[in-house]
Amino acid sequence: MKTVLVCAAQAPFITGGAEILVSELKANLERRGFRADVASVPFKWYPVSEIVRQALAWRLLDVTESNGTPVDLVIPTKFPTFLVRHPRKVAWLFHQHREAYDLYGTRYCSFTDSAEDRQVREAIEAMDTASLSECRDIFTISRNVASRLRRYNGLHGTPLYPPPHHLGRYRRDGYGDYLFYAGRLDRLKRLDLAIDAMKRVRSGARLKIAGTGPLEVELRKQIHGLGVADRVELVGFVAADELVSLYANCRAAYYAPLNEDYGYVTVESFLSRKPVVTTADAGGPLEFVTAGETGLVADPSPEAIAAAIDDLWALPESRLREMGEAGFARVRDIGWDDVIDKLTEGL
Amino acid sequence: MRLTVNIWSPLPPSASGIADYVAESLPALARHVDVRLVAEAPEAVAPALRERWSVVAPGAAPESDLDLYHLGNSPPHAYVYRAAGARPGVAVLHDWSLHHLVLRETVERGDVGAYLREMRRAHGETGGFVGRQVARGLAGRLLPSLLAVNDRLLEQALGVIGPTADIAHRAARRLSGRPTLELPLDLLLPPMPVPARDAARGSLGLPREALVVAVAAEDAETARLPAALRALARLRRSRPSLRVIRLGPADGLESALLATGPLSPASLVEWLAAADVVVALRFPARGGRPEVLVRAFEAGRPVLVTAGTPEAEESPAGTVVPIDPDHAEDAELEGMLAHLLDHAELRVRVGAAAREHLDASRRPEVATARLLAFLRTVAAGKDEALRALAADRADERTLLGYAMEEVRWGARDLGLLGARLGLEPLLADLLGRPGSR
Repeated sequence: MKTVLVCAAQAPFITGGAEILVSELKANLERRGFRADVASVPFKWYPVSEIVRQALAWRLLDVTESNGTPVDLVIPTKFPTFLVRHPRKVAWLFHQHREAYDLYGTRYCSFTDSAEDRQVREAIEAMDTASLSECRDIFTISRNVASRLRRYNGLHGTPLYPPPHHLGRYRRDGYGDYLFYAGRLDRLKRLDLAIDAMKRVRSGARLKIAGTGPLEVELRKQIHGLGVADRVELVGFVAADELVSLYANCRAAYYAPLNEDYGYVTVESFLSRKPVVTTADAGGPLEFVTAGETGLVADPSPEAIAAAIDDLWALPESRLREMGEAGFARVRDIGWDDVIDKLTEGL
Repeated sequence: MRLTVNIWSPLPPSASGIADYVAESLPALARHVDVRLVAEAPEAVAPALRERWSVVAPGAAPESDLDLYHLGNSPPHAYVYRAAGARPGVAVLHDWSLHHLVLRETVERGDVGAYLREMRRAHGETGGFVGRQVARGLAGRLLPSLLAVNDRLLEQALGVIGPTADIAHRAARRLSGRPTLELPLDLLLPPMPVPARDAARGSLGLPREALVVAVAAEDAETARLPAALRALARLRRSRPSLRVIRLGPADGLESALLATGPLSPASLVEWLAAADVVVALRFPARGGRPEVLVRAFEAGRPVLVTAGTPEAEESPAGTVVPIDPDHAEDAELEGMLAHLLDHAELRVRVGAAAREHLDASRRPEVATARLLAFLRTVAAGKDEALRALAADRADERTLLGYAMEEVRWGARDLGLLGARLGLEPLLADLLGRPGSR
């Protein structure tokens, strides 16, 4: 039995999409007959001055064997796990440390223009390039992540889409009167744009937002401040059955993050045969959403998003079904067997 | 073989107290090694020294068997600090903390970034935080004193001499495997003739019948001068004859205070001999025993010192009077001074115990021999030590050097300053390639 070690960086006590994905990767490796485990090292990305030191911890580890048993393959996932040394390293790149790359210089970046922070950024880029170059193969969770890797590090990555958590359970019950978002409530998801847009819609559309996160209080204030509490609902954490049901009954999903790595919402929505409203700078979702075919793509402004929502609400259900089916066709082949086959190829 | 030693130190008339120490200890050392003095400005060195010794500027310092660096936590030592980093030698750490010196070398030269880097390098995230407070002028005096910022110096040292047990033990813990020596440098000081009390007073114009308290206070704040003056002012109300002498500069702190200004060793002894009690407080500080303590012992005068300092911790019980530097410092000082001033026989007893301790421990020839043996040991291992220093070390201006320092911090924090971590092979393929800066 071949042994596979999945490398994970985790902020203790925080579980998000990446942690769930790691856990499902392990489970599916085991299902396919591998002996798999997860090596997880805490990662703290602030202050900026701490990043390199935290990252280098991975370089000091020896994971070539464990208690006399050779480790046949390591699969690093996100920064900084790919700094790990191993003769057979196949990366499945969730994302790099985006503040050093595409988010650098934006309001989503905590790096300053100081010499110290510039040195950290330079070190991250050099470490990433060198350590990812050591990999036998680099797979990325989306074309968007591969594109960043090529642009900033000059490396080729092959997109390998991860299946969503509730694969096999998504369904369509109908096309209701609400847009649906499910995910973490953080700044990069730009839910503030959607709430602002809801102030401007004329069609009677409603928005349901499921999930928790650091922006929850701020979003509540915005909803009350704009007087849209009658049409925007924060439903909080929802269990699997309710999540599937909310997708099954929505009219469409809303998903307009900034340059998202991948974005489960799109795939979950398509698996529920629902179109997606997104924006032209959303990144990962645009790998699946084609304007007019599988959803609507607006400019990232409240006015444009409101107009897109009104357009969607004006469509007959037959048209929504067509878009939903087209979306479904794009994601139906995403599955774990393909992921495991590619990551363990040649093992 | 007779060693050639470059001695890097401020020299009289420098404001650094270490300058006098070094000058006074030179004759004993020069009997066994060839000495060259390296001063920042040779032309400013006291003529008597220049006549007797070779004094050169840092840029003209020739090769030698060893460089001996005298380091204190004050600006006159800045050039010594720079040289010690560039040219490994033996560091004599008169102060454990070099924080003010590093501050002077960085922030006061306008390079706050360099200071923050040094603080972070030496003390990690805490160092970075404190550094930012210090740079903004928000840290007071105590906080900087807790972070010594001396790692860079220790790492580059071929050996370290600690003038107190505290400094020597700290250095030994940080410098596993490298030579360290505990050598109270006051033991190298030649004895001075001590005049009788009345003769000293006659010479200095002090009335014989007065009570005289000498307060050693080169730097008023560190020497706790305000607290001492408050206590002495209260004592003077019931003891009108009380005279207070400040051994140090006059800076207008109190009109009733007589300040001596800079003193030669002989003058210092004369003032101490004229005093009934000596106050030599300092906080925060973790340096070697100041010369005033040794000379006060020599004069047989009771000395009030700050509890927790080497002069309190490393002097036998009954030879000094420790005062806690806490909120009750004034009151404790007042009480102890009153007791000593009112009990002449107690003053004599404490002074005699101090003198006896000094006589028993001061063996300049033994101290010189220990120093010499240490220098020979370090010189014998110099080439190998230099190779070890160069290995596993990359230029900090490169990304590889930066990364190695990031990892090495963890080892330093555990007290493994000199430990070979084998980092370069692990990190060079990440960051060591040409052009990866």
